Amino acid sequence: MNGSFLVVDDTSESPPYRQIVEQIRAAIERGELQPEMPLSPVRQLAGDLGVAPNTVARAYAELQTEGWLVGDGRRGTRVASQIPRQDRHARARSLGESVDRFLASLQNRGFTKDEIDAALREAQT
Amino acid sequence: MALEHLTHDQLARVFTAAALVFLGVLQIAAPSCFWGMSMYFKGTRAAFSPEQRERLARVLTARERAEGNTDAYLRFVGILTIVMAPLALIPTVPFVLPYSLSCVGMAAAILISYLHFRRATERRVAPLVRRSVWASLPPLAVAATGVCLVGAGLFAAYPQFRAGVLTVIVAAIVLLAVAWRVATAPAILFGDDSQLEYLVDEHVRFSRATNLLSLVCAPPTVLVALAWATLPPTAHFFNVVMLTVAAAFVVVIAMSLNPIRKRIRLA
Repeated sequence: MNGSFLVVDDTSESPPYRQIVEQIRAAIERGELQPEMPLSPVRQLAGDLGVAPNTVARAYAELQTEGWLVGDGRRGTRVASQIPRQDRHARARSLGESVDRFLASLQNRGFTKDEIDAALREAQT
Repeated sequence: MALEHLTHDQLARVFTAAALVFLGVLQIAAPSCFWGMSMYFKGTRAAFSPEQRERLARVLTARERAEGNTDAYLRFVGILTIVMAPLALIPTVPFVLPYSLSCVGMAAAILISYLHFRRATERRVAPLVRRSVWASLPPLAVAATGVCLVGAGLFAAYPQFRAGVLTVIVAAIVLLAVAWRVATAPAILFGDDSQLEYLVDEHVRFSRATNLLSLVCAPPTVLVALAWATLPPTAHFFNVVMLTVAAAFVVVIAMSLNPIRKRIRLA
């Protein structure tokens, strides 16, 4: 066991399936999940996280569509052997989507664009 | 001595009743002997550094707190075991019935603690690795359990043992269902020290599931031993059955005790 765990936070604005997608993608990008590594079956992961199997199935389906995971009935769901990390466009798209979601979440909480810009600049210095 | 005038069946009943009272007293006085989570980490503790031992103690304390008052559950089972002991002395009751009920009671206590544990966690953390049910229920232990049950089933050839065989088979089905439930239960992690919590979860799951298998085997082995003692020495086939069931029981017990010695390794 090399420390790949998922956490679903009920208080987050992000829906559980989105949290699963982002955490699996991040674990692959960090190299914690290696190519061809088998993942938990849908039912097992849903039971561990206390979410509906459909939630996990939706997350796996999205990651398969994006090319992060591959699945076949017999061998279950695995990390893809060629992951999108090596694809510059996919990586940029993934970053753009994450930034959009992050900004939307802050704006939903009432922060203005200027406040967010200022906070980001301060964080980078 | 009064015991010299007892028949084999009466002796078996007296022995069973006395053993149940002893078991019940032990369950009340020292529930952690049957149950305590800490004892399954003796080997691990010895191999850990002081810092790792501290982490392990924190994880075990959190887990024990979340499982609720498990000692109280087992003390209740102990009281039931003692109360049921006189049942073994009634000639019309199969002598393995009270012991089988006691084993089912222990399994129910394990299941209740798991359900309590599941409700106690608010954060939902999950490992991303695939688990196999056979990692918690080793095929050799399952096969040996099957041998115990088939061995006990063979004694149904004698009409006087049929009720006893039926009792242990029914109890075994209930106990196997609980063992399967424990082996397939979700991993429950608090997220404070996920890696160690996961390793502890796997170790405890294996310990509890194999303990339950030994509970499945115990009533049939008692039935076979006491029933075999009443058979004439010419029943050679049943001598072999008795020895096979005893050997299978030893295998299951050895596997259920293995976690005490086995160490978990931190990456």
